[in-house]
Amino acid sequence: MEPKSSHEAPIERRARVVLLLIVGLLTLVFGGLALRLFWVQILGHERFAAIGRGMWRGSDPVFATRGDIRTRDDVIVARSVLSYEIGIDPHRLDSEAEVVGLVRTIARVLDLPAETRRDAIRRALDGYRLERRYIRIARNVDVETKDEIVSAVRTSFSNETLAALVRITGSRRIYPRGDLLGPVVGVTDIDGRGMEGLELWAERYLAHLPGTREVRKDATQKLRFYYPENSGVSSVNGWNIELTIDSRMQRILEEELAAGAARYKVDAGLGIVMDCRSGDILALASWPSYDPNEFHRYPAEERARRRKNRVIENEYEPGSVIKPFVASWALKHGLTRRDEILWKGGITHAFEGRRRVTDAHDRGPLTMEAALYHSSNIGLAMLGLRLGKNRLNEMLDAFGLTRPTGITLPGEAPGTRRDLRKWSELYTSVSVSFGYAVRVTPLQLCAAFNALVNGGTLYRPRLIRRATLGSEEIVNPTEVVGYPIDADLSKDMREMLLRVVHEGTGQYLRLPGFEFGGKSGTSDIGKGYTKKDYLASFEAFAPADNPEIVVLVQMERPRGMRYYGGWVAGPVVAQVIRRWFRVEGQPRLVREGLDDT
Amino acid sequence: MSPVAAASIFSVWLLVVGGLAVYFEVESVYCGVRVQKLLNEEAGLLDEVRRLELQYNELVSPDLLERWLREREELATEYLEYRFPIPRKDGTSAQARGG
Repeated sequence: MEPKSSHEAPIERRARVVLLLIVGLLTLVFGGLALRLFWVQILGHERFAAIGRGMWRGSDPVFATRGDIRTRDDVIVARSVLSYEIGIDPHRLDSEAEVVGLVRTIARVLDLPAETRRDAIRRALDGYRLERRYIRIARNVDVETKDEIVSAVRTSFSNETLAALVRITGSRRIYPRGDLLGPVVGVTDIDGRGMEGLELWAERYLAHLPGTREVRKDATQKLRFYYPENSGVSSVNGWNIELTIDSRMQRILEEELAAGAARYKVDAGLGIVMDCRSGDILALASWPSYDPNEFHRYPAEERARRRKNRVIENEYEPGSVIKPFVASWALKHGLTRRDEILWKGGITHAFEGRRRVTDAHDRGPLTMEAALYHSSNIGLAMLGLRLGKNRLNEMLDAFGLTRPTGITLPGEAPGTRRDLRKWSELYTSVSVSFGYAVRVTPLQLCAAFNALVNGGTLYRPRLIRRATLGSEEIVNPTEVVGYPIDADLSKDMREMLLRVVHEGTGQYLRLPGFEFGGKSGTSDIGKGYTKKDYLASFEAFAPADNPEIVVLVQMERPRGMRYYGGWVAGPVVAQVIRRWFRVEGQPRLVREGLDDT
Repeated sequence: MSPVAAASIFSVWLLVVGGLAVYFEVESVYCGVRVQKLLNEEAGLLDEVRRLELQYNELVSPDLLERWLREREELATEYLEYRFPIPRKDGTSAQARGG
């Protein structure tokens, strides 16, 4: 074996040192990497995994709609349509000038007022400085306007800027029929939650649940795409609600009510039409009304005046329209007969020498029937005294007066009557018999009148027929509350009420070739009964022989020359009946030119 | 089979499988983009159908027909009252008016 050269040993030594250095360096590098991996994979796993997921996963909203509201003849009165929330992502913009330019372009298309535009620019600039990812500019933007905005931004800016324009899908509530059925349908707030009328009452049915769909994103975050393994939350549409309202009848009632209100210069008015055989509400109107599409634009005071649904929220002393109930109860208990002479004649009478009651006209001796169709306060007060407080209370209970009807609308007033312990036999019983000292809602009165003429069945007023969602259905059935009188007595009442239109206070409402019956009422609703503010009412049923509908119209504070129910509310009822049954020829007062105020 | 031949076959197989995997992944992304586009369009199309339904609903609504009928009746009444004034008790005639 040859001996090693003298300079081989240092070279070998150097190589070994270099090798050791390399190995040491590599060990350090890989050791560092291993530590970093331990840090990333074990200690910081959750955090880094979330950052990673956020870079390639996102979620898109899935469109769902709030339920429709339709009438029974399939007219859509409330529906949600697609809308967008428009905003910007300042993070994607390069300069403040670009932020201002983009917001100005959006504001120009939306035609925002100067104040709102300035506010939007200020918020967008703040967002840019604070590196926010989203600043909202406008809500409830319809599809066409959204497309206009996109087109305007595309024309004026680069694709990078267009990417900063954020469009979030949502829905907007519209009311295609405007003010038709306004206070009944109600309105939603800007977030689509019910805040008035049916929209509020039926919120739990109408409400929808928007879903989400998970998507994947590319590295630039621009491309979003569906991936089969991605999870999501399904959207759930709201239930569609079908009302008992008939759109044609509703239109007739609203038009005639508005015309009557203008003609007789009333402060407010209301009307109800009910199906005799089921208690279904065919039309329900309160004047003045509002257009739900414009609800948030009315001045506060005007909105407060218009938003009230007087049919259920107001309680009135009804006046003479309560007399048929008193008469029927007296007949039911055998306390009188139709042909019994109740009053010998005259316009005033003091009961027990103390309680003075006055009639508007002296019509001579009056039978019970004549007292009813001439609306004699004295005659009915006599019946009230015969009935006494217990039977009068029993009557109010049996007809559901001063008891909430349970209608599917918010804010129903209960009605009020005097506590039985404080009920004076002389004063309260007499007052109640011609419609004072008791306050009822128009809806209670209408339902009770229906029972009086339909054969004696008191129905719960029904406004919603059913709710549907796809093939599922929830039916709201017709509900009978009671049978206050029998069919024979109901027939007698119809005959007597027919004479109101033939010979009594409604004789100028008679239609040629068509018979209907009814009862007028006029009550002093001023504080302290000042004889300045009246409530003019008329309740009717038609046709007379086999009633299909009952109509109630009440007019608050008529300021024209006339204020009696038969002259102010009666013509509206007659026109509603004429148009509904397509009667040719006008009511008598129009034919004779007597309806000028 | 020699080890070299086996390694060659395995390499080719690996290349093909890798290529297919990339191809299918790219196709999956393309499909995802198309599905995403269709899903986005679906909401718009559904909304368009709902808007068209509203338009149709307006065309066949009994309440609007009723309003139209009243307007025609008012016109007819005005004309008739103009041509054949209603005599009043005081000898004058009633003013023309609708309804």
